[in-house]
Amino acid sequence: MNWKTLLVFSGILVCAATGCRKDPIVDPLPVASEDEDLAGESVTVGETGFFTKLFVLNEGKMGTNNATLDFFRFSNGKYVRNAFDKMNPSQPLGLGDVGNDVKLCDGKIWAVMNNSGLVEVIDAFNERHIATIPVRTPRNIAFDGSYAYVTSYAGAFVNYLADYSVGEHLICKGRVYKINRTTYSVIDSVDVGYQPEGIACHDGRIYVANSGGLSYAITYQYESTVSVIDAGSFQEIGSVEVAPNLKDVFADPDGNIYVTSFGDYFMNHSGIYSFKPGDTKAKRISTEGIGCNMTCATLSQRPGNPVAAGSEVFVIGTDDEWNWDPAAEKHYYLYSVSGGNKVTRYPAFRFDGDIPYGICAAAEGNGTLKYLFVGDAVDYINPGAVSCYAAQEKFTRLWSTTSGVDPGHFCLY
Amino acid sequence: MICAATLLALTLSASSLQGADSLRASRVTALRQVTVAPPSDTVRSFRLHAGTDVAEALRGSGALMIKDYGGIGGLKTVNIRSLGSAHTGVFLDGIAVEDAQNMQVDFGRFSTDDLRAVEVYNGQKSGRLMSAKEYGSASAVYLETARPGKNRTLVRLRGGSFGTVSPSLTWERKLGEKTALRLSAEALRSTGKYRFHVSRYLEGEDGMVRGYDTVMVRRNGDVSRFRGEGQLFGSIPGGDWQIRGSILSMERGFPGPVVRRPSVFPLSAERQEDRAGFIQGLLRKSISDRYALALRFKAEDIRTHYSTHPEINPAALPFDNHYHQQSAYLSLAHCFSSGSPLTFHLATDAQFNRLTADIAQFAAPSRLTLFGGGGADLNLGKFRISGNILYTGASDRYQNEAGGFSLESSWRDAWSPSLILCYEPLEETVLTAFTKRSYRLPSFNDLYYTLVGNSRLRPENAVQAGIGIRSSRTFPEGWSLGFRADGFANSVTDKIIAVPTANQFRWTLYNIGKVGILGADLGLDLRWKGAAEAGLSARYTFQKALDRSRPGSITYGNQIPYIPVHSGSLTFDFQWNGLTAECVTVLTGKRFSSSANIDDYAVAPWVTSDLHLAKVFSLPRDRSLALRLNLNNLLGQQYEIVQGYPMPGFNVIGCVEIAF
Repeated sequence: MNWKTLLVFSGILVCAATGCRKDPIVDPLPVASEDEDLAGESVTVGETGFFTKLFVLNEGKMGTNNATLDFFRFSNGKYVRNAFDKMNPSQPLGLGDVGNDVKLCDGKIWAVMNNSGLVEVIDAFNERHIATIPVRTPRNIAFDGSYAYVTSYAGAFVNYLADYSVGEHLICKGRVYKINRTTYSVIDSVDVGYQPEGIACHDGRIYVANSGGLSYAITYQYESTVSVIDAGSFQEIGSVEVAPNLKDVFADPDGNIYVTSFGDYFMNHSGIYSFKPGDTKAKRISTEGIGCNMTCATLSQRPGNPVAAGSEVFVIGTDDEWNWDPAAEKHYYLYSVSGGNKVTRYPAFRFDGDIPYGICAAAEGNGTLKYLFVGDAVDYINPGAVSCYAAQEKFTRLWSTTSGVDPGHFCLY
Repeated sequence: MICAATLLALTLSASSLQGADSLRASRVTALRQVTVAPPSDTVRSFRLHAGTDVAEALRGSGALMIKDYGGIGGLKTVNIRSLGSAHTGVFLDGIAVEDAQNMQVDFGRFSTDDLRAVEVYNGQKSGRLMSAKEYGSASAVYLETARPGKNRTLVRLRGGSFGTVSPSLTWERKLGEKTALRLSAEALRSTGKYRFHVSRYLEGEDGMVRGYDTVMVRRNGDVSRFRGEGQLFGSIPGGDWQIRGSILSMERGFPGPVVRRPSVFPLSAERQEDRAGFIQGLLRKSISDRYALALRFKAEDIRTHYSTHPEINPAALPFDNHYHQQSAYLSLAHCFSSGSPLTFHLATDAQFNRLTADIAQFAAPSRLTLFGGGGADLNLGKFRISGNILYTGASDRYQNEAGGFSLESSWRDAWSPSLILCYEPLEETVLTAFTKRSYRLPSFNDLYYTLVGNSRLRPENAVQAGIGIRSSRTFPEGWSLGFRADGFANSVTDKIIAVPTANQFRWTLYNIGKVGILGADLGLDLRWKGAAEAGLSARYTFQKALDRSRPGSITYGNQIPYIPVHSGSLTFDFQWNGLTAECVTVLTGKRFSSSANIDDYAVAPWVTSDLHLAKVFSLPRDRSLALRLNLNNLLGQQYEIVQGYPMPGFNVIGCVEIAF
């Protein structure tokens, strides 16, 4: 193909990409999406009346630019790999490097591309590129009103003088970027702690989990607080003490804020904590020794159903988290947390795979768990797998298929 | 070594071996003589001197794959017969060059100045008075410097593409009958900038092909390097000695992998500074007709400063670390010959390494490795056999999280036997066979990297077996034909695969578990020597290096990363009246960047042709002027050896050299 043809096609693609659908959750779809033509693998029989697609963001291996966006279409039971690149073939270098978060908002998928330094906004209907927003080292994303908030490792520089070290070290505070959802531009930013990860919005407040995962090598300590930002003034108004090395934050509709901690890998185990707005310290939720450093997700719910999305946090953890022996057989447990400190166990769940790297919980209309999707990282560098477990039938594995590398992030559409 | 069989040597012929030794005093030759089998490949000096580093000179030689991240400052490592670069021992004048931190030797570091030959061995060299370490590596590359033969001063200026300028000066003096001195200094500066294409085309469901093709510029690949060396060579009754001291100062940028990134953010601002110095020495002496010994030592100090400069590249993870590596090495080798066809040898080496860094909770590991080996060579004229066994034991000490020293997993040891057989049924026809087990310790980075975690990697074992035939015939009127064919079967268990993460200094390491390698090398050499000399060499290598780690996994039974099934090269050389021309074409088949052999991980096959031209003018009063020109990648092919690291297109390096 010569460059003129390429130009023409790029033009067509750009035009096509500008159409953004508002409320895509309508059955049946009124317009056929071009992605219907994409070759996919039939992994199960089709099902209508539930979600339309499950999107899977495969992180890829850092530095190899192989993050990919897959989707599973419920109506025909097909799993389509690398859909973004297929639908946007003239996007130089594809989706990018290290996809670290993906969330759906208003019919658009916001994919946070950590090592590409950008947030890619994609039409959930047909996986077409809508906008690219440069953000330095972005990690996670949350939405509130007409803004998107993205955590980033790249804030103000601080000179840190460590006693064991040669001279001063430059380390970076973390930052939260505020993005206008209609103009796709960064309009404000505020610094938080070192290496912020998860972010959640609730009732005019933005909660950011600081990890300190990288500055640890210099400061000798992890961050242990959640930064609280007032959405109106976009200023940090306080912090909540949790535990070392924080990862995810979820806010349920009742104002319970859940935070997970990776722990410090040798003294403090991982765990899940909760607090209420106004608290200064979070409480550990007793899970009887089961770490939660593996993966968590809130319940996803179709709009308009009685039980609101996010009311329950699902966790896959292990009781053997410091066993680094690659040959050791690990046992994974599934539980959920709701109402601030209520723990529900699912002893019937057995994980058939190597490393649960990401989960996604999809609820039925009455709010009970219907499917649990689990991404398996296998060996972290080769294509992993996505499996679907039916919660109603004692967690029978309904299907499993090969995904991209490190299928860690999901969203339902 | 065994390998004789192997190879494909480019230029090799029996005469090149003799030629190699003829530079030395005859009594020294006796100490150095190869007793069993010749090297699998020899890179001769005319290829060596125009290029800027050894990796460039090795291109297209033997069954070795050069992993090159592109550009003058880019990392270049050598992998022989799919065993992995950590299994390739590199010996500079017989003393190991090593990096305990990552076990990778960067061939881009070695200047070709003053080198006489580069020899490649599959298995091991089989000479006399070898150090125990020489028996330890699965394959070896020997860099040999020439002993100064007369008073001479050499001034070189190299330069060319990527804004490369490199002056060097070598001063050689004979200090009396028995001693010679060489002092040399070399500086190199290069911007490392070059243009490359990134493209990909996908065929859609409608049969239309869509894609992109973008031109980008490689940035932050600049390097500045200074090296100063002093070498002293001496003869003593029944032996010789040499001492070398070297300092290296290098500052370079790593351009990083090509990933999607908005143009407002640079791809990389990583910089690394190295300050290294070493002193090494060798003494060989025949005490009597029956007993000879060799003493070797080396002490090295390497300071590295690595920084990602987040203030320039905010997308980078913030690292700014200083590493300090120190090592000491001592070896004593003995050789007993009873006058009969039987020769016994015994060697004991000790090596100490330590690594410190200004990283919180850094393990600060230190390692004492002891090598003890012995064996016997039996030389019955047409039939030669060499059997050896090496014991390696390593003790690690490192600081655990709580402070104190831990001796956990402190002792790793192994026995590595090897057997080499060589039979010459006819004149100029050699049959060889060898088998060897070798063992490589996990590096400090493998084991103790703070941020990557205390990876409990198992050591890596390689078992090799190879057979080969090498035959040559001379015909009237100066024609000669050489043929070689080798087959090899290797098995690597607990193989540690190093693949780059976001930068070259840090690696993702995993025990791929088990790899089964089956391969064959074929070589054909045609030469004519008359009024001029011309040669044509063709080599082909077939390698199936299959992942045998986990039955049922997506990678099982697939080719391991970056090993092509088919590869080869074609070399043509011509020499006449001081003019040398050599054209090397390297062909590498399809590879995968992952053991999952799916199209998403395919790395395109590539072919490059390099042309080396040299003309030496003899001037009055024993002076000479040499002009050399390397035209690399003549067809300007866009290719990647490592996925995400585009290689430069057409480039030129020239060299003017005056000797007086």
